[in-house]
Amino acid sequence: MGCVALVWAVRERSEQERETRKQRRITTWVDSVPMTAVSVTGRCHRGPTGLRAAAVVSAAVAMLVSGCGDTADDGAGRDVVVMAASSLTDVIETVFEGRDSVTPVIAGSSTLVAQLAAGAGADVLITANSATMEQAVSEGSVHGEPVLIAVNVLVLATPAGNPGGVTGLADLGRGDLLTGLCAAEVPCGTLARQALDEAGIAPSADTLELNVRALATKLSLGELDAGLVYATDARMAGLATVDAPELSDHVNGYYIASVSAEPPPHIQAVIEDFTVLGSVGAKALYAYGFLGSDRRPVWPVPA
Amino acid sequence: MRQRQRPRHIQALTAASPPDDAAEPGPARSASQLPAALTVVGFVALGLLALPIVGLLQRTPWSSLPTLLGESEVLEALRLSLVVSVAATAACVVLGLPLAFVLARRRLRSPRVARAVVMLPMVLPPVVAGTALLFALGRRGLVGQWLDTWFGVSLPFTTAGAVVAAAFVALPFFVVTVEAALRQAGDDLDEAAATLGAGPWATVVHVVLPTIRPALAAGAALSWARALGEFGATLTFAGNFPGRTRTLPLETYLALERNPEAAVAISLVLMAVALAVLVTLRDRWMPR
Amino acid sequence: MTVLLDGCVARSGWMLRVDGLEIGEGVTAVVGANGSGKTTLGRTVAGLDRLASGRLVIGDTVADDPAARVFVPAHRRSVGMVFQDHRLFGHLRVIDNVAFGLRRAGADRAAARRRAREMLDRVGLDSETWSRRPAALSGGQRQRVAIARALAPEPGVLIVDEPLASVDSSGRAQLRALIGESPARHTLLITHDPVDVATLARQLVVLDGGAVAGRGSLAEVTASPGCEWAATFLGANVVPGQAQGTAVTAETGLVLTVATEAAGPVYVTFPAHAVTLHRDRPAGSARNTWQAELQRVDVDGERARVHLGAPAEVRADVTRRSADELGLCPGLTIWASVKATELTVVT
Repeated sequence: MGCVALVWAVRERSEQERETRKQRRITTWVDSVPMTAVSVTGRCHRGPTGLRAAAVVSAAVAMLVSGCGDTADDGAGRDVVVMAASSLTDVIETVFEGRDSVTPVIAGSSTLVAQLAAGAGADVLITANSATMEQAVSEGSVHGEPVLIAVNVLVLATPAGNPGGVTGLADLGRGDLLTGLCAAEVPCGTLARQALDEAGIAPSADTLELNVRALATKLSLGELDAGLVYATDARMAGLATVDAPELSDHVNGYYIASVSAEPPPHIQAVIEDFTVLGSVGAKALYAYGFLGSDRRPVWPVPA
Repeated sequence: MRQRQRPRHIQALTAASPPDDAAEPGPARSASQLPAALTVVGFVALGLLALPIVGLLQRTPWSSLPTLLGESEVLEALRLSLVVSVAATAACVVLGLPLAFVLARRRLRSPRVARAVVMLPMVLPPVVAGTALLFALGRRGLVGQWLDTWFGVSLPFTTAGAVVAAAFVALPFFVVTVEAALRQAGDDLDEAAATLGAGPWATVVHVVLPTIRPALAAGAALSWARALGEFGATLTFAGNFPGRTRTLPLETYLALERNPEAAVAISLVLMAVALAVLVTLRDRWMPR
Repeated sequence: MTVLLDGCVARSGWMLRVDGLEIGEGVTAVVGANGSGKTTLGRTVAGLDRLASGRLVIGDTVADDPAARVFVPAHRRSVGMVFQDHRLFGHLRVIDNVAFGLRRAGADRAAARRRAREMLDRVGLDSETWSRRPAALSGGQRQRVAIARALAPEPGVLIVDEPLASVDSSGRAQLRALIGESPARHTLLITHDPVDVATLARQLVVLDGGAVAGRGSLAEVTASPGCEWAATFLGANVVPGQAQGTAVTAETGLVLTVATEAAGPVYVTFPAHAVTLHRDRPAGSARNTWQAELQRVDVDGERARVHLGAPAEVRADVTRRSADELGLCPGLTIWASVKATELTVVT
């Protein structure tokens, strides 16, 4: 009984803490992304240290809480559930290949955020843009501090050989070509719309795909003549790209965050697989065509 | 006096008709007992099926329902869904009826293979079905490239493509239902019609089709419901564009990203329609 | 005009072989044990089964000749069929069932219905049943509809498969008369019922194991039945008479006591082997005992068929040995008896 009461008191406390932390964090990290959070060397910015103190308190609280249910341990050998945006499918597979202790959950960023809000159990969240991460934080589903791990750029992609004779971004407004974009509801669609708006191009899209992979597949099958996909997907699908300088300012940041405010070491280790210089995640991101915010490799090519 | 059973097909056909004085009375209520465990697990399973529906109802924003459903995107998707599902059902009937006849009445060299091919879209993940349709009917597809070259017809990203996708996944429901009815009816009545001077066409039109009318209705309703709910194949083959290929299920999916309440509202409409169809169907399908 | 069938019909693991069967005008009864091929014979004439080899000629048309690749499908033959299981169209009202054949022959709806009403009237169906659906009819009513339906288009050949099996006794006489008066030039009556044969058939075809075992007039076939089943079947005695309670007075004056009550004109049938013969008046329980003149004895192997004359034409089957012991010879007056329980009353 005493334990239950303690948990209750502790919850009240941590709830308040969360509120304050959340507000501060949003102002800090949202402002800093996507352009400045990654330094030129690719070292990730870790957010204000002033939050640490509060985090330590809530971590202690978390341990107390978990200690009531089961034995407190460092979590080694326990499963880590990593929710990751679907554009990271291959990266995640590469990073966690052969690691049975990690369970990846792959879906669209917004789907993942919705699942977290609905109470899905996960330890780490990786989203494909800042908006969805922001949402997860504001909904209180994520308490860790989001870190930018990579960016992805939009490219104007065509089937191999460019059968439609696409020459530039303006061709997306041509009615005689079959063109596709991502739906406005998913990050790659949001980004594409921003870019097209700024370039003053009214797209005459024939389809608004629900995820970027489906768009890339349709391009690779030659069903579409042109479309805006991420560089990584264009590379994966073997698509040709057409120079479109208008796109260069439109990149998507990939953020990682721990679900709990102060993750136990084994979860922290998984996060560091992506955030630390030269980590396995950083290498995989590079290998699949993700870039740093300056559109240079996140991590210089290893020797 | 030898007591004769009514022929099976007549029993099947007339079981739904009101009881009459001359025909034998219906079976009495069975006195046999069902094992308690079966009953319990059966009701648990029923609850399991009903639970998500209850969940949906409980999350339904009833007061804002008219506003949510009145959104122009939703209305557009609803209109398109009706057009696509009705057209797909029509295609199912036009193509499925002859196919059901072939399966039920012709001696096929490998009937099992033929039947498996018919059932395939039922078990194929819809996304795979859509991809397969792209391979076959897409602009670069097996047949699609010729359609494009010769007639300038390209199905993907058109409403016609959405109809093709919906018809593809819905067709088995019609064919299987009608084929079963044709088998059950047998060819007894066909023979009787032939001895009365009815040729093959007259027999089909005046005897077989009226005889299997309940199954035709059931098959059409099932395939329509399937076409209405079609998502994966439509998305993969026909894409997603408002007013052209964005049907209600696609709209629901997008609304889930945009405004979950709207998604719930649309789902409710889809569910109500499907439920209405299935309940009406049940009466014809399993007459008491 | 005749129907000429010469050939064989193959079904899985079984075959009907018919050599030069000529079906004359009037009613031809097709009898035989279950599985002897009666129904197949009817279906072949109707065009529902095909000949594997041989030839079928109906009138002056070759209807089926596989060697010449000729096959006239059922709907182009002038053949009507009354099926054992009726096969009425469940979705049509009674009147439209009967009008069906006329409609297919091109009659307009009103004319077809007019004719259908006539036919229904002739088969004795109450007009209140005409607008019902077949499911709402009794077995006997359905059989009448089936007969009316088959007869309505006036087929040249009518095939009737076990017509009275599902009809209760009250309607049998009327239906039997209907078949007897069938306007079809040829009527093929497939039956199990000795009364049908005795009252309707001008000629008889006996099938046994997929082959024709005997054919000809009733007398001819009875003299030479061709198979054991037919011998027993044709050995059945059929005595017409008037019933009153359990007593049936034969037209010849003989009074038979039966086990079931009936009234009015009936047939009493009993198998030949149920009749026992005695030199002296037998004692015992058999109620039906009479003296008769012995007309003829046919010996066939171990069996002797004894034909008795007045007061009733009755056949009795006895073993050859007892025929010898009794010293049976034509002209002898002898006692015959049969148990009441062996008698079947057929209306």
